[in-house]
Amino acid sequence: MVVTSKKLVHAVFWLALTLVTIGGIYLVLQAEFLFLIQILVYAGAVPVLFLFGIMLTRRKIMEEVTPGEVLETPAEAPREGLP
Amino acid sequence: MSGALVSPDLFTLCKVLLTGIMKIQSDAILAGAPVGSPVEPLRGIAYFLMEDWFLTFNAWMIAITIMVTWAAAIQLLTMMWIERKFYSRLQDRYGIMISIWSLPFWPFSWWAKRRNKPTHRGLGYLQNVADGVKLLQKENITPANADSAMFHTAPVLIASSTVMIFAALPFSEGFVIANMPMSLLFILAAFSIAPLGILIAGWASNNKYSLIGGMRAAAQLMAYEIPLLLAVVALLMYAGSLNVLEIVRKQETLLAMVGPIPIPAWNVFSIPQFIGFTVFLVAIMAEMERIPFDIPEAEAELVEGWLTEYSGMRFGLVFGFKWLRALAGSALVVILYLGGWSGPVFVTLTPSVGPTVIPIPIIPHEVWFLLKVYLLFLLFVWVSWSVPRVRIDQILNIGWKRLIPLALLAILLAAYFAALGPALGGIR
Repeated sequence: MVVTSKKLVHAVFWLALTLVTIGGIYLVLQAEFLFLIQILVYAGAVPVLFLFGIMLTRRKIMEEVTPGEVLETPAEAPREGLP
Repeated sequence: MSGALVSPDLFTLCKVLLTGIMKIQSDAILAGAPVGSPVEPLRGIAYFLMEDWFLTFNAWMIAITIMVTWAAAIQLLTMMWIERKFYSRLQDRYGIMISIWSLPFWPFSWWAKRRNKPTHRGLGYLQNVADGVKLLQKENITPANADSAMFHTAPVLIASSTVMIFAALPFSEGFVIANMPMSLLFILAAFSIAPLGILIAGWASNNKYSLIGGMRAAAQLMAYEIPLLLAVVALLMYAGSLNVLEIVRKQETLLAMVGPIPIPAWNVFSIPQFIGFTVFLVAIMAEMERIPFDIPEAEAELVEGWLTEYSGMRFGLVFGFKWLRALAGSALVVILYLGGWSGPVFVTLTPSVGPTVIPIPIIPHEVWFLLKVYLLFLLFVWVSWSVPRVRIDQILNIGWKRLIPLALLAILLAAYFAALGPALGGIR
């Protein structure tokens, strides 16, 4: 689902879920410490960084275009993210 | 210091009670359906009720329900009441006042009329219940053009990760659902799933201000997880175990006697842990998104920040789970640094005539724990409502540039003291 979904934000969410289930595999293999560290790092930080990267780039790169959007020059494009 | 009685495990207690109840029912069915009567197949039910897996499963369900639904929810109500009453007294007004005298049905209305009590001048404890009911009545609006799947999944993420914390958070030595060998790491991992949910909530609302609030929240929460974990590492060098019960057990010994008052060996009283304590305190205030670290939901700037577009019970869910995270955070500080649930449970009387000392239980472990959590939370509320809000770049400045060096200093000192421990004569 990570590579086949049309909306990029959904792809990041599925990536988070995939990483959590890999942690689940660690749990089944009785490596609980690895499972906890995987949740801490991968479910807590890596998808957040991905989403930062997605949201701080230009809107034309992302698949979602709201109807009625007038495409401006990159200098005037609305910048989303931390002011 | 305490504990002549051994408090049973929560699960064991539930299982024992459940076995007793099921045995009574089973015996009643067996007596009422003797062999050879037309209702004989009912005996199968009696045998089923006493099966071990059935009893274990139900005992776990009851234990989890007690912890999550009763203990956590009632603490939630109490903490909301503490906050609202305390900050309104700080602002020189009475605060919330709906209590049982406002309930419009018998017997409360009868008692209120009989004692001539006005309805809206009570203690205020039920106000939060009333607010919850009000939120249930409101319409659940999904904004147009919002990413509907993400919009509905985000509160689920936040809520489920917060509830997971309470599976491993002990209220006392027996009052814990799951005593796993690395429960501290589990609690911290469950804490760190929430920024993902907050970011998704901010994004999926299709609202510039929510998005800004969500990104600020994610940046802030992720920035402050690092000093949190580093302070815990400094603590681990002393405690030596990631199990929360072990950490509290190490704090139950006596450190020194100041006059007649015994001082317990709480972790906050040692020098490197004190630095770790301040780092952890500031970091947990930022993780709870309290003022002064309130920018993600700053009312004057971003309406409600990342939860602007949530209405009705969805808002209630997210709002309530912010409070539950506050409860979990304060409980974590109390367990790690302030001695958890240790406190004198028994007051011993030595009768002049008679053989032994008589222990009289005054305050059980759970009540000590809750008292400490409430006092710490009061401190948080006091600080929150007295200082102005910090700007987002200042928040990240504090997180990355000031707290991390302090936490590293704490680790250095803790390692130093741990290596030289016996040579320094017991200074930890």
